[in-house]
Amino acid sequence: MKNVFKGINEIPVKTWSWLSVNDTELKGEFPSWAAYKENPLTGSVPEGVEILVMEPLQTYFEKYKLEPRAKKAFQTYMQENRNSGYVIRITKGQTIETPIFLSFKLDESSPVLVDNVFILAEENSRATVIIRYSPAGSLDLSHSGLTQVYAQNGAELNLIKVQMLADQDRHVDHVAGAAEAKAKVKVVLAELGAKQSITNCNIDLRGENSEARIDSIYLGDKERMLDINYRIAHLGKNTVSEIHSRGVLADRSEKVFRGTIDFVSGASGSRGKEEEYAVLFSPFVKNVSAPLLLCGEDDVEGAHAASTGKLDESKLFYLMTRGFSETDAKKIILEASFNPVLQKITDESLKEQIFSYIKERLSYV
Amino acid sequence: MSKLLLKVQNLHASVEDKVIIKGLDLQINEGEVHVIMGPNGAGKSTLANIIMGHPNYKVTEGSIYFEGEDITEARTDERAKKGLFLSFQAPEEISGITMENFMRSSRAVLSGEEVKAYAFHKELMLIMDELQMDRNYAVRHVNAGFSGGEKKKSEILQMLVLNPKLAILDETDSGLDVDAVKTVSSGINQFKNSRNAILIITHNTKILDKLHADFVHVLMDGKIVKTGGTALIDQIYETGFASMESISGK
Ligand SMILES: Nc1ncnc2c1ncn2[C@@H]1O[C@H](COP(=O)(O)OP(=O)(O)O)[C@@H](O)[C@H]1O
Ligand SMILES: [Mg+2]
Repeated sequence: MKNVFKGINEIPVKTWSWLSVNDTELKGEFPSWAAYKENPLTGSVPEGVEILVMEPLQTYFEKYKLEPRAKKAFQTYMQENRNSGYVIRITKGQTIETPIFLSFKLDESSPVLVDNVFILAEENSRATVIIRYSPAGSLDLSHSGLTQVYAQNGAELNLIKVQMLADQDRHVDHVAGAAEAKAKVKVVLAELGAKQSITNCNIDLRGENSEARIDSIYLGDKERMLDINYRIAHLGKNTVSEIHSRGVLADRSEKVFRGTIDFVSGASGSRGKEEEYAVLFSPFVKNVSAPLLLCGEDDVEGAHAASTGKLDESKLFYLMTRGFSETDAKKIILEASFNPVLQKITDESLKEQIFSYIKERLSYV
Repeated sequence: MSKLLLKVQNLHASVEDKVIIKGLDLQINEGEVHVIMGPNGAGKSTLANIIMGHPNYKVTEGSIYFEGEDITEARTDERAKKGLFLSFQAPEEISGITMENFMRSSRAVLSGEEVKAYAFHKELMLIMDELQMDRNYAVRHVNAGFSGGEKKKSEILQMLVLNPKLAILDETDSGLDVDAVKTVSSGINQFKNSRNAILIITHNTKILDKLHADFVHVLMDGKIVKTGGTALIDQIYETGFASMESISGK
């Protein structure tokens, strides 16, 4: 099935004159595929967690009404072609120390993955869920997904998503979340691979004193196209948000970053800030940033910054005086740039994998 | 006879079309300690950067030899591998890698050999103790959030760990308190042997308390205008740099 989906990753207010900033378009084959057969869950289900497969998803969708930043047409595509789905429920008051880890491997037998995961953190519970997408084999792989996170009163939910697909793959990923009073939703996103990586994350701070963070890293190399759209909406009073993104662009990669902090009328006493920082390794990259602060409420504090740095030549020189080759020195600088976000990835072996993945990628830079 | 390590011959260099080094000669043999003094903006740091091969500076005339080999065009990492080291006037902060891992990787790339973690750790702790550096600094990121003085100590630590043939210390003593100058000075003294050499750029002779300087050079306006023994230092203190210019016959 050949498809064109328009209006993907649309920003909330179209104030920008360049077309690429307002939204993007998705074109290509979006085939249906049989169920994803592997069990992505690594390790056992910890006490205090319930994991349900597929069917109950719809009930949760309807009950919590999260709003993914996906156009109706694409949502319909995902709904109709979903081939893997889970509901993860963290029961009330439980603190789950070990992260719940879903690892999706795309390969010849499952070249198309359309996954839906709904994570519910009940009142005062705490947990971390990690979802990783990685490839095996050299087929053109396609992942489209929707992860929903809902934190009830006082709950704390950490979601870590890592995408390490191969050069020819496509990744279209949506995260939608909401936090009730005093709840925290913290999302870490690592977009490291794929030919086309179209991602968004939308979190509603519904309850008073709730908090949300999006920390992300992205890596552009070769001809990768990264299209990013984050939004945190302050609905409740005294809510706190932060969007923090760090990226590296090399070769002829392209990136559009949209980050919106939306103070909705009534969200008095709220604070939000966003920061995006890109290091450019090549003069041939395309780098567009559109940080946006929307103030429908006066009594709020918002700050945003986007900056672009050429590779810091003094740092490069310093490292080379210590014997590191130019490539190795660049890797060290890149790791340094990613480090504040990588530190939030609590799974050591995953962190190691990310490091070696990045190293491998950068050996061509 | 001791071996010639560094030979800088008729060096002319510029940055962004601004001529900074204007015909500079310098020879350093194994076992020697050289001191360069000179007013601010004379080109001292520039000389250090050029010896290390900073890409922003263009050598327009002349050559640099290290152990007889022409390194004028060599890459910075190649020079480091040959045994050149620079302690920076303003060391860079590199977050994301700990001091210990950084120095261990650095030693591995410099020597081309694997460096065993445990033995390295033990050695590092001893050197840190001698420099009166808190051992916790080993797990902190390279110079990240270090005070000015701590950064300078970190440079000396790296020098001791990497053990180069020629160490260039660019104002390593500035920004250090009296005690820190003492520890750094004894660190340098400990490093010094008959097979290596040190080039010290300084405004301050405290760092030389424990060290005998074989040669003192005065660098002004991109040239070495006078060379002598330690007596020259006293002369500089008495009469200032201005008098040197007349001596050089300018
Ligand atoms: N990267 C650079 N770009 C422009 N000018 C420079 C640069 N580096 C040094 N200079 C200039 O060259 C001169 C010598 O500087 P420097 O070597 O740092 O002096 P010193 O270390 O002796 O105080 C100064 O006038 C300085 O402004
Ligand atoms: Mg200087």
